[in-house]
Amino acid sequence: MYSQSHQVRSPIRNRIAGIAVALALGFVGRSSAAGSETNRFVVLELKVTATEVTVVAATEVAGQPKPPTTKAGVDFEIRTRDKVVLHSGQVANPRLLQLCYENPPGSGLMTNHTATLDEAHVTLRVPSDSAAASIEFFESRRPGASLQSPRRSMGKTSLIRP
Amino acid sequence: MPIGLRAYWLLILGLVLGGLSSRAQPSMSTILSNGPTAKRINIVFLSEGYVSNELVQFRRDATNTANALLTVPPFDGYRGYFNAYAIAVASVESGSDKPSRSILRNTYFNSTYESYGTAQLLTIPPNDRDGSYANGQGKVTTLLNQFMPEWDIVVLIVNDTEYGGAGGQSMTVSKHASAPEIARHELGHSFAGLGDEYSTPYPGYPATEEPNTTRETNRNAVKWKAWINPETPVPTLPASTTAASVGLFEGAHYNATGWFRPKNSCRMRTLGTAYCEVCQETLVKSIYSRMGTIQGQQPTSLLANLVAASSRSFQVETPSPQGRSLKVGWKFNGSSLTNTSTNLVLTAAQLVIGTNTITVDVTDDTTMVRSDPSDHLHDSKTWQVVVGPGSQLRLLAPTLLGDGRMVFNVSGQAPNGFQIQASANFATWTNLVSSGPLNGSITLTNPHLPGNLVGFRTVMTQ
Repeated sequence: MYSQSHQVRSPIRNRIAGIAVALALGFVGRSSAAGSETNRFVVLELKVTATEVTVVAATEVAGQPKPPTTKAGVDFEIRTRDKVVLHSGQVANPRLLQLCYENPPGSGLMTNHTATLDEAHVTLRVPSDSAAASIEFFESRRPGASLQSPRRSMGKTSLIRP
Repeated sequence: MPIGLRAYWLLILGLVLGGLSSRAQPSMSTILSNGPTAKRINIVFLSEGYVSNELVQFRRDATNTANALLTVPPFDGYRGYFNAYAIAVASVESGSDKPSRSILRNTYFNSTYESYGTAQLLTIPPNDRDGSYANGQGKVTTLLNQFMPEWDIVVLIVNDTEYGGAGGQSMTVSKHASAPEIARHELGHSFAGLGDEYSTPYPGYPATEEPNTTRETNRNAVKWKAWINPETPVPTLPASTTAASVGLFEGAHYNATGWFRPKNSCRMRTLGTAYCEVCQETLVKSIYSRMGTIQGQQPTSLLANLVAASSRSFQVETPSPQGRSLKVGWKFNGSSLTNTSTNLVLTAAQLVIGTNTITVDVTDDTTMVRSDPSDHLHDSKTWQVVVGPGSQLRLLAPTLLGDGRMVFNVSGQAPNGFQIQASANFATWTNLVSSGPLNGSITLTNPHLPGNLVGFRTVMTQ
């Protein structure tokens, strides 16, 4: 069912940092992975720092991802050139590293280590849409805050090849 | 060296190198298959620190870990909802780094124990020892894109028996006996968005409530109030007689005070205990938020046009929890049917001229879920079937008027009119009523019902 002949894509090929890539069908890399043949989506890899968000790679793949578990932290919106929101979602803040572990070992007691990364990567799986032009990240609103209250932008990047 | 012998050695060398080369290629095997990837929750295991000749063992380890995850409630009841895959990629060396003991292994994802100064914290880059995303998590992403972009749960199995593991973007577990329990806890986070119920401080962590954590102390406003018995005090003291029940226990979300959890003991607080009722409920809802109770229907189109003479079958595809079926209910033109199967056949006689509405509701009525405001455990499909008169006459079951007369509804086309006849023996037919030309439907009443002709009626064109 799953071919043994699939080659791993070169990490170098995937790391096209600084180069904005389009989500448009003809502009993204394609993977031949197994999956639903009738649906395709885009795996969007982004590098996030304190000051900017950069598209690292956009790969169109076959299949239909199921809705992810949302965790408050960062909101994102993919928009058209006319600023119409095509797709939005919520992910945990990728720069906030939270590692959960048992301490002491065998005690059953859990604890965590946290760190803020200078540079983090986040992977989003979003619908393939040729009208996608940009993606912007925002800090999620505080619990109970009005949906009309402004969100602080964490960075925005074009999804269109220059 | 004779040419023949040289060719022989070249052949051997070629076979050896070819074998090494093919073994070095990542590959994926299916270890649990219950349906198409788009319709199942896909767990993906990746090998770390396994050399080529250990990859068979990796597949065994992945299978064992999958079984360990899916044999505890609530997952054991939904095992058929999951697929599991093992992506095998060879490392140059076996095991994982333990820097304080100068044990450094050349492994595919560059995993290490002792991350951030904690012996059992087993992670892959980016971490405090290697900040390069490309050396660790980036490779995970590449392999997932390549082999299973429809992944739902990712577990990296590190080929080392020393205790260790970590949750995070990818769950990492060692081969220590405690590994499955760590994985179950992490699954609560990554799969269902459950929060940590322990109190170890985490300064600056967002004060966002999770399904199993709250600051609310008003019993009627607590999100898991459906699970709190009336006799259970709120807040609930661990030493109270109701401590084994669901209540409102103080200490959760990295705070010893001011934050509450549903139960005194739960896997999201202490390893080695079961998920509490509220966490199980959340996990079940998370399963259905990804799958739905209806995974396909026939006809695919929810709108169809038929001629009067056609019958029609309807079918839904549903997943099946272990040992039971989902509850299926059908409605036809607003009336509930007794059919509880996933198939429904409506005959031509049942379909009326005009628009027919057929609705199917599929629900998981598990007792593990008491509150489902988002209706994750229920799906519905409604077909609209527009039936045209067609060329064949149809006589619907008549309505008795009680005075020897009956009301008939006839539909179809009869350019020269028609008769309704009755018979008690299929041999002799008596005319009940006649009509002029028809193109559509008509309701008419017979003047009388002779003798014992109740039972067989037909409509005939003239």
